[in-house]
Amino acid sequence: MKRLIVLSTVLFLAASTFGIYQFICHANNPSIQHLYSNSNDVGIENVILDTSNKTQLHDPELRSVSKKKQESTLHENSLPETNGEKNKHHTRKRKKVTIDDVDLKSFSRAAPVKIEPSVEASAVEANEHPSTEE
Amino acid sequence: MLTSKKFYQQIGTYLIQLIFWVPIIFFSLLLIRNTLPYFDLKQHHPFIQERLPLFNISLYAICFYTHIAAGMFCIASALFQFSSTILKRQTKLHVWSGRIYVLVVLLIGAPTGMFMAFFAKGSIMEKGLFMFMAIAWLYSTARGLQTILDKNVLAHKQWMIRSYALAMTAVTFRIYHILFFMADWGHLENYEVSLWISVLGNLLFAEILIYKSAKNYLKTFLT
Repeated sequence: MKRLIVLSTVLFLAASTFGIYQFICHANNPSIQHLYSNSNDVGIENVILDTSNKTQLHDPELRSVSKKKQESTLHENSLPETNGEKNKHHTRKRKKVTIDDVDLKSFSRAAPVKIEPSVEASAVEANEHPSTEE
Repeated sequence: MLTSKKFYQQIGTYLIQLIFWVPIIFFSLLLIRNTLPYFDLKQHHPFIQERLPLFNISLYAICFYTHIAAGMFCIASALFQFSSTILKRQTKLHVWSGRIYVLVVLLIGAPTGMFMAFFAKGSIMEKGLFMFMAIAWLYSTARGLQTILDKNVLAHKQWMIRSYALAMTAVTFRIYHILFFMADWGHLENYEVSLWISVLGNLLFAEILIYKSAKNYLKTFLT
């Protein structure tokens, strides 16, 4: 029993000494000194529960997979249409919207609308500052 | 009348024990299960990814793998320690799992934990907390061993409660971490708060248990 305690104490002291030594050795190593400075956790949560979606997003592997998916979708979108064959799922033509197209009554419920700069400029011209009018 | 009161008291005690032990067993087994994939020795695991430069230090990598292996044995063997049924009917199981626990903590768990504490995440306070944990874990386990060899069962029980409370910080830390994560806490503050609550909370809980059972509480530190 005494031997075991002596052995464990020796091991413990050795570990402490090596710890201090390694810590001093890497005191000027920026990759170790700033190890956790940009850490937004790479998912220590999933040490216990790896089923939550939130947690899965932290997984670098999954992140890279989702990136690849995104990239492949982008690639598909950029493919030229052949023989009138349309990629209905991925092509979205952006419709030009003018101020006349906007239903002001249902404005609060409407989706965000992009107004063409020329239209926007004319609208601003029409409503000049009240101070200049005076 | 008296017997029915005793009966209800017994049921109450069983229920409390069930509520206490079922989550502990569940989360302990879950922790062991989630530690197993690390032994593919690949670096894609989140914990390793975060500390990738550290794994270039071979001693750190060795300490990490031995520490998690030790932790698995330690948590698994500790599950047999506090059951009075096992102690009465399967004394050998209690003794052997206890031996495994003590050996693993004294020779692997605490020393590797101490080494890794120097590179722990967080400020100097968190590093200090990990070092304190390693020292306290080693000391309480050694005292637990010494007291049982002196046939002082009560003191043995008290020291092993302290040791187990420290071992279980690995489990409680992750529970708090998940809870705060769900509450959308920032990562670093979540980590630090979870760490402090788990260590201090577990130690406080252990001391309350000991205080309730001990006649002279302060004496428990000396025996």
